[in-house]
Amino acid sequence: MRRVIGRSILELLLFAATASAGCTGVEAPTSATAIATSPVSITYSTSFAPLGGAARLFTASRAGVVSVTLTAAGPPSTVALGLGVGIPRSDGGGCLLSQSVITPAGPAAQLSTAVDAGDYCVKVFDGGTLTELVTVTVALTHP
Amino acid sequence: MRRVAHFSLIATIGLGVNCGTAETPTSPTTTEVVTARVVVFSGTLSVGGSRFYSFTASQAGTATLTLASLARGANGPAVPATVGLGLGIPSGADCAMTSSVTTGAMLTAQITGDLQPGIYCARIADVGSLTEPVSFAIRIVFP
Repeated sequence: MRRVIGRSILELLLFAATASAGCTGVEAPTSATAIATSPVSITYSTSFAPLGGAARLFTASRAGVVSVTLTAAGPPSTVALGLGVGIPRSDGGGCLLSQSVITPAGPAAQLSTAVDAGDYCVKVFDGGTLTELVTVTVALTHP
Repeated sequence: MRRVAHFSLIATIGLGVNCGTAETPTSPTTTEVVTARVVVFSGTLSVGGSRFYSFTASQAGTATLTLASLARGANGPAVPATVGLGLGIPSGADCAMTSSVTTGAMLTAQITGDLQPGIYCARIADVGSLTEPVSFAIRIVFP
């Protein structure tokens, strides 16, 4: 009787061990996933002259939210500039704005908007107050 | 020998039970690839005016219209106006709309429609809110 019980216990242990170990490869997490690449964060700097502007293109690989922060501008550091987000012209010659604000540089996003997957642009421009060349730094996050 | 065979059977059953779901074969499916085309219809919308653009869907699929930009001039700031946006079929010298919305510019599609192969049109019109001409850009994605 004791031998029968001992064998049954051994069978159960063997069953449990093989059941839990058998699919380790299937359940193991993978290190490379698409989620790791989105959202994308970019910080860039550029300069432009009075009454001018500078645009940068980006591609949203999926629907999501775009956030744009004018983190630094100057001289002077208090200058207010136009900041906008839109779609590139079909001839590649500019940025057709969907939203824009006139804002000084700061740490919080001045623009945030939902987008579908596709090609977009961010533009910083002079709203008519510049008297000399300005250098700006923009932080962009997109899906 | 019989005992070894017995335990091998128990182990095999354990492996099979645990992996049953992961290894269940799926029936083959056929995926039809529909290539979407993207055009940007841009121009100037006058006060009280309308514009339309015709395009050809070469296969059945989904079309989206995004009024992405309303701006003061081609390179100006965004304008927070609302206009009429529609999807329809060319009719004479105009576009007979089958679906329409009144909307401001945004970067997510305002109109989605399922199309059969054929000729369609996207239309934009002032619905009474414009006080000056605006530059517009409509992104049209169609099959």
